Amino acid sequence: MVRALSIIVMLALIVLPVGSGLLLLLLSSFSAESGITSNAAHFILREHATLLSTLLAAVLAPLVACYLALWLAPALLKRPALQQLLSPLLSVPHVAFAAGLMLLFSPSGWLVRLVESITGLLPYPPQGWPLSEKSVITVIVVLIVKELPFLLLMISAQLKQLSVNSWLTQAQSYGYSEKQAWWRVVTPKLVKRLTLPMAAVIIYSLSVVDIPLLVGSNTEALLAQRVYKWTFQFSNESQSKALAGAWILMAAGALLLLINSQHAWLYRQWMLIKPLRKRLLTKRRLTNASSSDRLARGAWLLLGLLSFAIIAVLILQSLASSWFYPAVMPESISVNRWLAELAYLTAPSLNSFWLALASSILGVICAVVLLEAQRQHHKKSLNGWLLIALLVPQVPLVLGWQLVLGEYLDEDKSGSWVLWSHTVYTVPYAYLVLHGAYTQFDDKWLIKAQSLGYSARQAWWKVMLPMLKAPLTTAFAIAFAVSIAQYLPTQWLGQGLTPTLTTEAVSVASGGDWRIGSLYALLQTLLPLIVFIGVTLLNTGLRRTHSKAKRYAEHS
Amino acid sequence: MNFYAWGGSPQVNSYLRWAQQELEAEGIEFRHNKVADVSEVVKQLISGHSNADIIWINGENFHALKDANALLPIVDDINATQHINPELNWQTDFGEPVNGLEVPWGVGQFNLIARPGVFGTEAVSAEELMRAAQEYRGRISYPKPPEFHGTTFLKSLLLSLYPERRSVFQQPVQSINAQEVTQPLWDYLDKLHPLLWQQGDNFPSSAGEQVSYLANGQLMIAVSFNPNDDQTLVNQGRLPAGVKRHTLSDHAITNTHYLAIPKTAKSVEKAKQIIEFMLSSEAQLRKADTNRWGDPSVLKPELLHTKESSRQTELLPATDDFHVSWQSYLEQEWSARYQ
Repeated sequence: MVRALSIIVMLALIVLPVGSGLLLLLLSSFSAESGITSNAAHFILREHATLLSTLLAAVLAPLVACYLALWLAPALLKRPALQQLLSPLLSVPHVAFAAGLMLLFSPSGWLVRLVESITGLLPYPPQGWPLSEKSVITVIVVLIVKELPFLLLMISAQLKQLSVNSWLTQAQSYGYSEKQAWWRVVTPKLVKRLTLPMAAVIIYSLSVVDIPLLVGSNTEALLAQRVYKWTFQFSNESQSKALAGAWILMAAGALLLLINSQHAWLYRQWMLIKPLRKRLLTKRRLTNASSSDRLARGAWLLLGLLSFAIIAVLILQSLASSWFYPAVMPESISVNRWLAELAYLTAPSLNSFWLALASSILGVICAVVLLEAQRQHHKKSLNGWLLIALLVPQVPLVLGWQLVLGEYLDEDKSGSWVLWSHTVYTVPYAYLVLHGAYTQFDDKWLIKAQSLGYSARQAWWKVMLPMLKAPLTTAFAIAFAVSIAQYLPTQWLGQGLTPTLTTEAVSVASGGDWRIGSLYALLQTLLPLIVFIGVTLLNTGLRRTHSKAKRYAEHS
Repeated sequence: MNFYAWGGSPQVNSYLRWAQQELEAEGIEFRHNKVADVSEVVKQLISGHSNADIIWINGENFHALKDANALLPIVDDINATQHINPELNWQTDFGEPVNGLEVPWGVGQFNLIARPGVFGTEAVSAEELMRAAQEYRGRISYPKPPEFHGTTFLKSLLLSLYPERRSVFQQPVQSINAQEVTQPLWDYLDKLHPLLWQQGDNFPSSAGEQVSYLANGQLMIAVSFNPNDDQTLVNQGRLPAGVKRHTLSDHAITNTHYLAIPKTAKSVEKAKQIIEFMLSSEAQLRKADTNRWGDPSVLKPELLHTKESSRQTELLPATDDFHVSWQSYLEQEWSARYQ
């Protein structure tokens, strides 16, 4: 039964969507007029600046985010409530986040205006500012800050599965400092379990289009961004470049995923390097450890501040009548823009909500089906194939869906197909959030339950699922945010019948008027924010009762 | 009825909301499907499936749809086309013959919007632009071609560098020695780019983005295809009061933007009815109101004499857009040198 279900999920949500996308790519690659030419491929391979920035963004952003997350994670052990800080950061959609960051830190951003208002030294925004409006550095910074909370959430889910505290205690009894124990004992385990989340983060950094379009360089643009641009230029030459670029992107993705699969091994090798070991193994003076702790605490505080500042600046911007440099505050504040839009917000808000709710519940159910099929076959390994939909560029993918669906895509059914397309994207994320907890679930609980007279099925429903409530709800929240962010599938399969907050936000923001753009960005943030806050509250509540029960069990 | 149109301007969106109400009174259910770029719909019409009944296009998007044979010939069936201003050169779109496949909706004229005092003259020559770029180092820029505002910026510079040979640009690139004609432009840009914003390493991605840079002091100029934007953008609080409108070269490159009906539209009659409404003097007047969208009307001036017309502005001295072959030629040459 589970096996049959998992095959259906595989076919409907992975094989069909990816297969039809690849089919279209193949068909168009061999088209006579605008197919791939060796010229187009050579052209791209000669664009060294583009290739270099692309690899830089796809390698550096995930790596820095990963190690920052590992450095910040110990605080989560001591204070699980810190997870609340991640909710706003996880809920702000990427583009809105990038825009908010620019409103704060660009050369004409709020920070510079504040300095100008105090000193009067900067009548014009400074030139040569490090975080410029258009550079690969800015893209990488945005990606890092945006991926960090996701990876922290993944780590936090893993920490609940591992008996980290007892390892740390053991290691310290051997004379390691807490920090050494963390990096030498816990981290190798974590890095191994982060392989799949990291794969998702790498694919995202490699294929992201909207962030570089907003804050990336446009003379040395990233490859995904150029492929997207070529797709919408209709000369045969541009079309060939778009196709060649799509294949090169996928090849680069495959290569990076291969390297990523060796991440844990590489980390262990790196930890064994002698000078490093020496440095880490020598007993540190206490002051050092505590200063690093203080730094990590400061970083947490900064993260929290940043998320509130971004939301605050978006709110101000959405209420501003006008807000020119160097004014620190808008000229006047009014709710008129909100009132004018209000009448038109009901339909997109409801569409966003129902699509996200249905596709994330479906996504979580399908992920559980896939994982249960794996568990029954005692396969603990990560199934990287499930992420393949994230690797194929979205434009050919969705066009391929249209090609295959053809007749079935009439106006009455377009809502269901949009729901299906969102589920294609929620399943991989739900799968990777759940994977660790699910495959590492200790069978002894099920055996105990069955020895108490439950059937295998009852044990699964009454013991296993309730014990997995925390990862299940987290997977739901992440999937919800993923669905909210979908633009192209919603726009193309929905044929205008399912306008969502995101399709409205993306098209409104394309004119560069960030006052109305901020309004929509805030609305986009609101729904996932409610879900994330709900889920974290639920989980911290759960953890309390859970740890009480655990203590009780240990003492009885 | 699905009308697919760019949704990046709150003023255009408000105008279309008004049109929706008016059309509802005529018994037509009209929906503006907002897109970030209308080329998304063009892509679908060419290699996919779209339920668009009407689209708002011009230039390269029209060219692509015409090549793909995706549009209906409708001009002869629209009565309102009799009222179109005969002065308007709308039968070619970016040099491409319209062949009745699209109906003019509004007029675009390329202009610069600058902070007061940046330029000394209303018509900005290439020399004047260079002088301003030296005075305001790092504060001048233009949208990056192939974005069409950026390509039009290049064309205007060519006009300024060749005041006496304007007719040359009406001919196909292949029929003249284009390399010789454009060499002065590339020499000029080689000198100009180091003086520009970010030393010409990056450019604004769109006209809308450049307007934001003008608003927040990054740049001293923006570009626009709406000759009333110096007023409308101030009215909307997007630009500070006092900005000035200029033409680059002594004429504004003028073109038209259009409404078209794809062959796959489900109700052609209703779509034509909508276009009739969009060309009614009431709808055209409201569109041209600078307190609203401010997009110039395509109708004969005598049809627009009402109390509202006080809010209409005179058009800039106009010149025709280049032959269509110049578009991709200039884009490719520019990319090869500066990308």
